[in-house]
Amino acid sequence: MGRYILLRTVSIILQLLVISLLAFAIMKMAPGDPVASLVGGREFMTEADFARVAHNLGLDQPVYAQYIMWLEKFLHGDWGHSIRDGRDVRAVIWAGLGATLVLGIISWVIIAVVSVVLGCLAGMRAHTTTDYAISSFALVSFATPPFWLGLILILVFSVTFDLLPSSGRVSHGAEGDLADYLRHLVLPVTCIVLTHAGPYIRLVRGSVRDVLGTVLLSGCTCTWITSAYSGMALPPAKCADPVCDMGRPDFPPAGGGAFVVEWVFGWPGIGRLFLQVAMARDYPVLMAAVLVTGALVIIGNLLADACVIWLNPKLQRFGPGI
Amino acid sequence: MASIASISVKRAWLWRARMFARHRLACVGLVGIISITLLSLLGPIMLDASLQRVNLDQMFSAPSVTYPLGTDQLGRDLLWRIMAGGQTSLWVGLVATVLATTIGCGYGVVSAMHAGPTDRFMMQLLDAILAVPVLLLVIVVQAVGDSSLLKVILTIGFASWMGTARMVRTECLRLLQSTFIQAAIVAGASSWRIVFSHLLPNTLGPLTVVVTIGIGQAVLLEATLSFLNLGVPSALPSWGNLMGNGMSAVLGGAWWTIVFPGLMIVTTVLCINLVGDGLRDMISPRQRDGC
Repeated sequence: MGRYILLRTVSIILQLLVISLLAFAIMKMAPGDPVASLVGGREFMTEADFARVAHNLGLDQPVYAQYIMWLEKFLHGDWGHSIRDGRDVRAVIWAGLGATLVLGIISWVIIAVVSVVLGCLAGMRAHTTTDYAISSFALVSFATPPFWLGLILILVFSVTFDLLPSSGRVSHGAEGDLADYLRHLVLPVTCIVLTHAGPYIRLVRGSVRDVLGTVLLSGCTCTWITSAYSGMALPPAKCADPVCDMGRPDFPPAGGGAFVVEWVFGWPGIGRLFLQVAMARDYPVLMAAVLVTGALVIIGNLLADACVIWLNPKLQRFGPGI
Repeated sequence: MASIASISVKRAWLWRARMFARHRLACVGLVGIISITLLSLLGPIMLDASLQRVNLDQMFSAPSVTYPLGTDQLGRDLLWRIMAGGQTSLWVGLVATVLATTIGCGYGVVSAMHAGPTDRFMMQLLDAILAVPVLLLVIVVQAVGDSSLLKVILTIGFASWMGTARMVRTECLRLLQSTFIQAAIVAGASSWRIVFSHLLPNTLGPLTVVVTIGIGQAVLLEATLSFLNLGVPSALPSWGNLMGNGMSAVLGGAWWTIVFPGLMIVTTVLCINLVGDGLRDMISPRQRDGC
């Protein structure tokens, strides 16, 4: 286990390094001039002014020096200021992070519960109407773009029936009102759950089908273990493994389609911020957003591994394969 | 001998085709994809071309006899735009997936053939790249510089090869253990020969499944990018573009600008996934469990 933790630490450092290099490389290779975009165009400034601004921003240094400078500052907590409006990047990111985590964690929990319940139901009643209904839902869910469903939800619940707010986190003048906050959460959460649950439902269903065919369950039936237990407790425990494994890449739903869901619903999280700064070529904020999102994914991977180890005692000695 | 071999190969394909045909949903999917493709290719030729011209008298007209699916923000016929957009969306999905598959196969095979530090390093690198969400990568690349059809295809292709690479590596490692490849190695076959006549042909089965699903995912990715106005140039219609243009109109009640292009995407991706399921069952009948 000690060796596993060591290897894991090395790989995390490597991953963070690659992500930071990637973020930096993309920014550097990008056409478009941050100085010009700061002022509104190169023609508005003299050559000397241009050089001075570029120097102040550190843009006259060689590329590797810029990277090291940026990384050093970043690690010291100085994330710089937005080129666009001069706001402190750290404040901007932190403000978005809270909103994204609230949306992400709530959706994630609901996805987990929904997919395990529906997947088990479909798996245990395979080839019945229940199974066909659930499996069809899973198939359609997998094929639906989140932003489209978001717009449809807005169209139905906000425009046509005027039941729920279409965007934002709180109504104007209702700050601190929990009920209002929850009302704003309903549509984005529904949208993320409906479009992300599909693959997991199918996975759970497949695992349950596999488990039902094994000796394990026949053994349970023979030993008079109630069918309620063998039906409700074993399959979820058995299929948690692949679900955790698959959940890795999109643990913080902000990484997947939830970006665009935030955008559609005007949810002030990192996803929306990311899209805004990407379009505005705001390098410092964009780099920080890429790094923070990458770090979230890595943390998610770690949590998934921890869950797998916790659920599968066989792995507790050596750790999952690297 | 040759004739017997060819007969048995023919038999095998017949058998597989029959397995596929038994999968009713996959057949539905296949018919769906073929119809959507034909509609996208033939529709713009058959329909009255004058409907696609800008017509400011007809901005955001609701569906009617002349405009079965309504019109967009410039009064152009939505049916025509959707069919023409299908060409773009399907083309991007197809070419980007071919590109991603080529890269993925190369990476996977190289990694599998160089067991040891090279393999470990390449897999670590793959993990690190996977830690960056695809959408994030693609948006950053698309957000800078001009957008063109070629750039969208390259971006999507270069951002979605990782799954294929991992699958190909696993499959190759498994194959490298098998007796027939061991025999080929002992007989002195070169690495090239092993890769091109033994490894790659034998990964073809799982590869077709990954490629099929990949096309669907690429179509979704293109739609997302174009929706955000970061995809194909807005002059060229694509399903994502149409929805991006309609987004602001939804609050005004012009539901048709969003609903119809979206339905096309859902139907297309659904059909592609159904075919993918059918192919998977065809290749590994053990897992067959039609749903």
